[in-house]
Amino acid sequence: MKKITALLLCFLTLCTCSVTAFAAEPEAEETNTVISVTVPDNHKITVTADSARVFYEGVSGEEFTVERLSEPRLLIRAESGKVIKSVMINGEDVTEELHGGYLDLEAVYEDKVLTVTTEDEPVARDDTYTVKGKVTLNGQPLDEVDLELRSTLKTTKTDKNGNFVFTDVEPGKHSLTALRDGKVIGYLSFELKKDNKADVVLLEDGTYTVSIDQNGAGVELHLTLNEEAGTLAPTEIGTIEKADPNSPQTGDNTNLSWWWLLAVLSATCIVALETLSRKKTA
Amino acid sequence: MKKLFALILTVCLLASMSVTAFAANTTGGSTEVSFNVDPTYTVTIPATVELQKIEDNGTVTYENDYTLTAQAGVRLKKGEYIEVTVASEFKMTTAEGATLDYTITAENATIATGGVVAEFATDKAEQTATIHIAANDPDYAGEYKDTVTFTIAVKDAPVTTINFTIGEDTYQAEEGMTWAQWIESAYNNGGFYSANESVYWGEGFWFILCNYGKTPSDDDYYVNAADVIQANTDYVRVELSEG
Amino acid sequence: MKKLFALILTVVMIATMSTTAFAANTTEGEADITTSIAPTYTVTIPADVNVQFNATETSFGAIEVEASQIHPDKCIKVELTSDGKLENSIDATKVIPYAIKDSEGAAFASATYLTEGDKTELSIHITANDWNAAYAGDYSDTVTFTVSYEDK
Repeated sequence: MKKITALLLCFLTLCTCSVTAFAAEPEAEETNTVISVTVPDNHKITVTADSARVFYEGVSGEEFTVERLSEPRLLIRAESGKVIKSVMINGEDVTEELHGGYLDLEAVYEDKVLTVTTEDEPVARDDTYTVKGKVTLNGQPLDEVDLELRSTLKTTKTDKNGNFVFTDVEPGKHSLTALRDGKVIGYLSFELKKDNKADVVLLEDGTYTVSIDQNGAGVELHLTLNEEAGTLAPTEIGTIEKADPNSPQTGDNTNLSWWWLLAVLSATCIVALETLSRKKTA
Repeated sequence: MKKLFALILTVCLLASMSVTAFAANTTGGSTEVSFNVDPTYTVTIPATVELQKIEDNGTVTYENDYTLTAQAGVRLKKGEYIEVTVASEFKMTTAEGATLDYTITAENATIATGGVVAEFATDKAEQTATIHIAANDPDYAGEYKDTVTFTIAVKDAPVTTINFTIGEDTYQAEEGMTWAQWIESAYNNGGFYSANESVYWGEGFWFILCNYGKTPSDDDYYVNAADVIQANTDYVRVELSEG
Repeated sequence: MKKLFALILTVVMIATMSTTAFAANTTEGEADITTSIAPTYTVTIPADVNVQFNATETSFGAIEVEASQIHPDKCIKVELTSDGKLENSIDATKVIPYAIKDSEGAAFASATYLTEGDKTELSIHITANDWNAAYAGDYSDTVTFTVSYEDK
């Protein structure tokens, strides 16, 4: 009986027991978020040039597309009668960085705006000289290459031996552009100066001073083309001597009309004699 | 030992023996019978109530009903009733100190602390009273709890006093009082008394109480002591002949 | 005979006894009113973002508590796990370093929040030098936000 009572009591207790149910706490959750970006593979160089042209890989244009992080080499050439005054890239003055007419850019990581301004080059109206020479590449003559000389524009083409001649070249700043199939392959920026002897000096800015013996008729230059750099470098220079007015002449140039009359008379006689001879034979 | 045991049994038997009373074969006598019945009741109060979450048009509340039950067989004195009141600060708290106010309403009326949540009367059937507990959505999560105290007390029913007139005089009585009860109460300040089921007034020559507007030929001409006094009613004293 | 008499007496005594049930006096009883509210919260975190090329600062949205009902002694913690570098999709050796910062400019690693409306604005920072050195291509990185329920 006691056991039954105890059992019943236990059962009753169990029936009335409550379990405190605590509110479950949220579990940690992870969420992923993606950050993305696209870096372009090229950039544009937009050119604004006043009386000048800009070349990239030998081709002139107003906008160039260059590979990102590449270091493009641009040729900046003033038009005839002009010289480069300033070159700006994205508003930064880089004129001092011009070297022999070329501007080497650092690794390009953004679009650029290239602004070129020029000014008039005063042209000396005094003596003029002949500038001639030979263009070679790796020691070999470079023929059929178009040459453009500025400031006053003069053009010519090298012959089969790579020779060229420019006459009536005034002292002052000049540029010489070598082109093949319309594409610039070489460039030389120089100043022609009258001096006591012919000489060539490479300046820090990559331009040359070509000194002319003022007593001579001009200079003869040996220009070496560096295709990779796109430069024409004067490696040899010589003076073109003037002709001596007192030196022996090969002919008499006086009474030239009498000599013409005598020639005509002689010719007439020869014809007459020949005609008479033919009549006799007949 | 056996004798002692027998003696004790005998005493117990005598103490609990009932005596059969036979009606006396005489006339003109009376016997007073009395017995006592104590009031009894059992009111059940659930130990806990858990408020449930309710969402209605985006509004969240926590509510539940709570039922107090008077078990069948509430037996009280006439005029008495059971009153259940609640004492509470109406604020649940968590172990971390978060609080949540709640309200208790009974028949759509909000109950203040000490207010009445249920009343039960004498009834052989089970009686219930349901209150509603509600709270708004709190700022903090947690296990909220409050302990309220229900007080169960037996109360006297409130007395309603009525007025009536006898002639030109105005008297008072408790609603539901009979003339016999009224005569024995403090409301009888006019020397009324009852005899032979009628109500009389005055010594020397007697007046008998009658219903106003009735005639001696009416069955209810005379007021009976067992009648319930009617509110706002006129009664009259009619003079009786001497002898 | 005596035993029988005693037994009869006992039976009669028991049968005639009454049990008196007394009415209780004013009494009190207690009841517990309870409710259990589980902690809930909603936290929004930044969505996928594409950074504009060359942008040194890009908005990365915000960590914001949209709804919160938590224990008073708890908080919501959000942790950020990041490699700190965007990786080229073709050549993993090519990377672009970046930093995630809050509105104060401090590097963001984690923060705790208590109530609805608590918020941290985030931004992605890549230096100009890192942009300038970046090789061409598509880059990406996956960051992980871990939201947990912690003691304050």
